[in-house]
Amino acid sequence: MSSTVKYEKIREYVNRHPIATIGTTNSKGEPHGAAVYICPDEQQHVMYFLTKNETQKYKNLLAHEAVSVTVVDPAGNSTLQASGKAFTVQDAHALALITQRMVDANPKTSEWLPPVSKLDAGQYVVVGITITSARLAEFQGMDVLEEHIFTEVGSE
Amino acid sequence: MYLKNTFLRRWEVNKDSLFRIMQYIEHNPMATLGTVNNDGTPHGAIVYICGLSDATVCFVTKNLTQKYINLTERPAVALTIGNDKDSSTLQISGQASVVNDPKLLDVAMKKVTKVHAMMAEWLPPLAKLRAGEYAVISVSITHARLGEFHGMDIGGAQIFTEI
Repeated sequence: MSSTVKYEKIREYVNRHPIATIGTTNSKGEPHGAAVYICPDEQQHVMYFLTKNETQKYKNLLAHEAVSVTVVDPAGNSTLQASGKAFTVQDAHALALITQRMVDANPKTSEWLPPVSKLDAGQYVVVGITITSARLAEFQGMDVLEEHIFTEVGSE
Repeated sequence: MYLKNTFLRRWEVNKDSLFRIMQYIEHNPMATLGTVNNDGTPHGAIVYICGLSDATVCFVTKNLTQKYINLTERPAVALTIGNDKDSSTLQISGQASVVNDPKLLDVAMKKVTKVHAMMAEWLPPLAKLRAGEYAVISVSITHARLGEFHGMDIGGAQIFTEI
């Protein structure tokens, strides 16, 4: 499987499971996790999320750009573990993408307003993550130690 | 007297908050464990957690996984749970340690097995990985923030329960 096909598989996985934990490190070098809606860019190996500029995760990623992205599908017994570098996005294309993602995701939830909108934590900001490596693990129906469990990009 | 009452009230509030947070974990056992790699970058992995005792949770892993290597070298960890159905999140910071006490190990294994038995597929993902020997990890919670956003106003003070 080529890396393009592998990345497409990972992109589709994120489109189906848009809730991720963003891992950052704080000023003491300790880990911090936060749940966000993510949205993959259709052209580049980039994922976007919306936050506010006074949240802990935003302060952390401004100081340390390295982040982790973790997604789980409990029903399908699969997980995605990705690493990347975060940056603040200024273009309207990304804002439109992530807004659409949140609108699409929220009818499935009990309430339209996403959690970030209820936080008193400064101004909205779109964050992009350039994915440097990703590992999709699909365990359902697999035998113990099965080689086909993993789809990996960027770490070879 | 005032100081004593204030302290007692705070302790009661914390006890209620702790109970609420431990209950949330019981209903939402799937968490993202955040650790730090030796180059200082964050690492995330999915684990099933369960309450072990007051303000302590545990999970099972294997001793050659990246998370195990990270947490034995750098015990500060984060645990994050998100529930999109009721629009809630739990963010935990804590200190991880390998459980060696046989009695505690027995309690932890029973609890973790019970959690796994309720999952869609009996054999947990971990069982399918070649990653060394099983290990039970406990996380002593140093800070936890439960955010319950459903029905709350923007900036509502009632959103968060913190310990």
